Amino acid sequence: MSKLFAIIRREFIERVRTKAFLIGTLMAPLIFFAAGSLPGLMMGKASGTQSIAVVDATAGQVAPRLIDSLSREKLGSGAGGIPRYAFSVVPAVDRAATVRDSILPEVDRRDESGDAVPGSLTGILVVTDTGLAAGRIVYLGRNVGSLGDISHLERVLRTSVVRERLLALGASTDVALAATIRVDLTTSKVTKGRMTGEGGEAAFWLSYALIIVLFIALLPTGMQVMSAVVEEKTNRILEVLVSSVRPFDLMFGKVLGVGAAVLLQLAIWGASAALLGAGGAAAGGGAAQAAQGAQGAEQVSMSLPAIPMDLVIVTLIYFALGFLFYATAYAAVGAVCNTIQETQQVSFPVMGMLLVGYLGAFATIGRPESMAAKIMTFLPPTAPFIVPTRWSNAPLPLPELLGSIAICFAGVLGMVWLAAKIYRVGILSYGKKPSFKDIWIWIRHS
Amino acid sequence: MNVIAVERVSKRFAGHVAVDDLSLEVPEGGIFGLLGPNGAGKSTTIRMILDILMPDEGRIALFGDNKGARDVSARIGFLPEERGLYPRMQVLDSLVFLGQMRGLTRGNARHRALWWLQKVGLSDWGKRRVQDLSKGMQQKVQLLGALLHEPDLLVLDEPFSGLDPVNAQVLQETVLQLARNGKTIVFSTHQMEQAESMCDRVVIINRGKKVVDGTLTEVKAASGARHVALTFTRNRGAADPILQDRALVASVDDTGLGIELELAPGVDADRLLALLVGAGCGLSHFELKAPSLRAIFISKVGLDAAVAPARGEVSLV
Repeated sequence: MSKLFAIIRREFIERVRTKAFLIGTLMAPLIFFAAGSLPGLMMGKASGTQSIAVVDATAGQVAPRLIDSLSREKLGSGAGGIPRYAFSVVPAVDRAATVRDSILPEVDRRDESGDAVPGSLTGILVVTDTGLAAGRIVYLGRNVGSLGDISHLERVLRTSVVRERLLALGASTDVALAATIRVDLTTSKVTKGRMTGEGGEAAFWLSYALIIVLFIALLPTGMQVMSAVVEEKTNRILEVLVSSVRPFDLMFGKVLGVGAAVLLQLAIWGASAALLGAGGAAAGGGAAQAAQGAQGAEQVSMSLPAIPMDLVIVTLIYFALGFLFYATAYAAVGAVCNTIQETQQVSFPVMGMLLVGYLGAFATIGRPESMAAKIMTFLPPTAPFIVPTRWSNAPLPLPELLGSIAICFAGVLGMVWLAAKIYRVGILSYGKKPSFKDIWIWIRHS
Repeated sequence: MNVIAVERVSKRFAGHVAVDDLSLEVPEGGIFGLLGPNGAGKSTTIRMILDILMPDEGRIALFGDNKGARDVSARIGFLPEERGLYPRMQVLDSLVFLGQMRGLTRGNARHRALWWLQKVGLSDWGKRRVQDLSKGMQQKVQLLGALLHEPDLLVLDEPFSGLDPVNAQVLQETVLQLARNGKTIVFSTHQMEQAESMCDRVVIINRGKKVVDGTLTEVKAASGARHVALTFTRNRGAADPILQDRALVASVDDTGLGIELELAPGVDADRLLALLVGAGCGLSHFELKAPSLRAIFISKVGLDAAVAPARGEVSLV
């Protein structure tokens, strides 16, 4: 036991001491932060109230009614919200083009240093009778590149235009208003006859994010174990170790040591993400919302789903099981190979299992109770992906969960045992790359 | 008590027999030489003794017990032929780790490592990475790793290969000192001069089979006073037909400085001397003597095998 601990300790310390670990640990949060905040910073100017001039060339001067409902749009939720749009109407019957050109210089005005001048316009809306009849309104602005801004403007204008058309066709104001009431579909997920209090869309995105996070966490950690084993083989220190430690301990210690280092790194990233997230939210709430971009206003207004504690625990358990399973499988691949190049060919069965779990989990997002999902719950290579995905939809019955964990644990032990056997022979066989038939002989004879 | 008892052990790898029905016993204390040409099965035998490989047949007992080497690893030190340390690890950390693998506590391993580093003059290198050390220093560090836990049995596979004469001398003295302290040393080599100057007992194996076994004295006595050392002063060429006659001479080892030969059965030294003088050879030295280990080795293994160039690592599968 003390030898196993010494192996874990060595693997952990030597890994954490490297420059690569230090750089990786420090750089990743910076990159995350940059990737997360740059779009927001770049679109930051769109986050304030948009100042829009409406060039009204309609005979009936419909623009004020058109923008009436738009003026009530808020940015941000609750009482703290600021108006999304500030309109100024310029009557321009029969001379739309002239008026438009005359105020064009006011759009996106900058001073010498390139900063926006206060009071400059975000854009110009040009409304004409022929345009309304054809369903066409012209918008000229500096933010036409922002999908979020434009899709929002388009959506709210559509409702107003429909109302104007109804009025033009002789409908009463009441009818026109009643006909254009905005419909918001509020979704709520029901599980086993009870409302869970979450929106369906939130659950979908949560599952989706979970699968991707699991995949990108499992793959490189497994690869790290694999290259550690290959490196050890190249160093030829194994002969000394194997004569004093069981290959099982050697293998398990290595996997746990790398696992501990990965865990430390993830914890640092998680903590820094939480810190940066809190700081970022305080610094530029609007920017973060603007960064949502194409997802549109619904996504923005939908608060991120609170991740339930039970899901966090289940995910961590299955991450651990998945890590042990795949890291050990990758260690076995490392034991077979002499160089990192060789591992690329030999590791395809392991990669295949990872992909089946990964893609299988996506396939079950919408069908958590399907037969395929149930089968994959009880297979050690796929369960680490499937169970958290299913859980994010609805908790599994306890017997099913415990059964799955038990099978996964047995799978991990089996994999460690198998890998240790391959390891025991593989680490001492240098030279030609063994075939899968050779590996089978090792497993039977060692 | 025998520290090692190997009983009728065989090990086959795909297509060839590495060790063939081998038995040997290593008594407690002293230096035991496992000798043989390259590829004879020395490393395979050592790996089986140390539980790194499993024998296909036969059994191996250590310290009079049937436990495997891994169960008594605290009593065994091992310096493998393939030297290796973690190159990026610090020297002191490497030694502490190796000590822990042999059952020492961290603190104790550290204490002993510092003492040994001091003794071999490497105390300034403890905090350096292994890869910053010269090859000779790395070998010293690895040897320290093998004896840090003061094992009762120290197994050294080709310990002198690649060492410069100074370091070889240091190693030899260290090993002799350990033997004087009652430890048992087993080392493999194909350098007979080294073995002859150090070993109490030897086993020579060839093609996986044992060909010689016993104390150095016994082995020499068994070969009998059948060996003749001679030095020519002139007319060396005239001796060739006589030396190549297998009815007279069983084997010849010509070192350039002198010749050591083994007489064929039934031939006595007087007759050989008479023939050489009769052929007109000038001799400055003609001595009937106990054979050198090197001569025994050549007569048992054959000159070709004995001086065969090192083969590459034999694949284990």
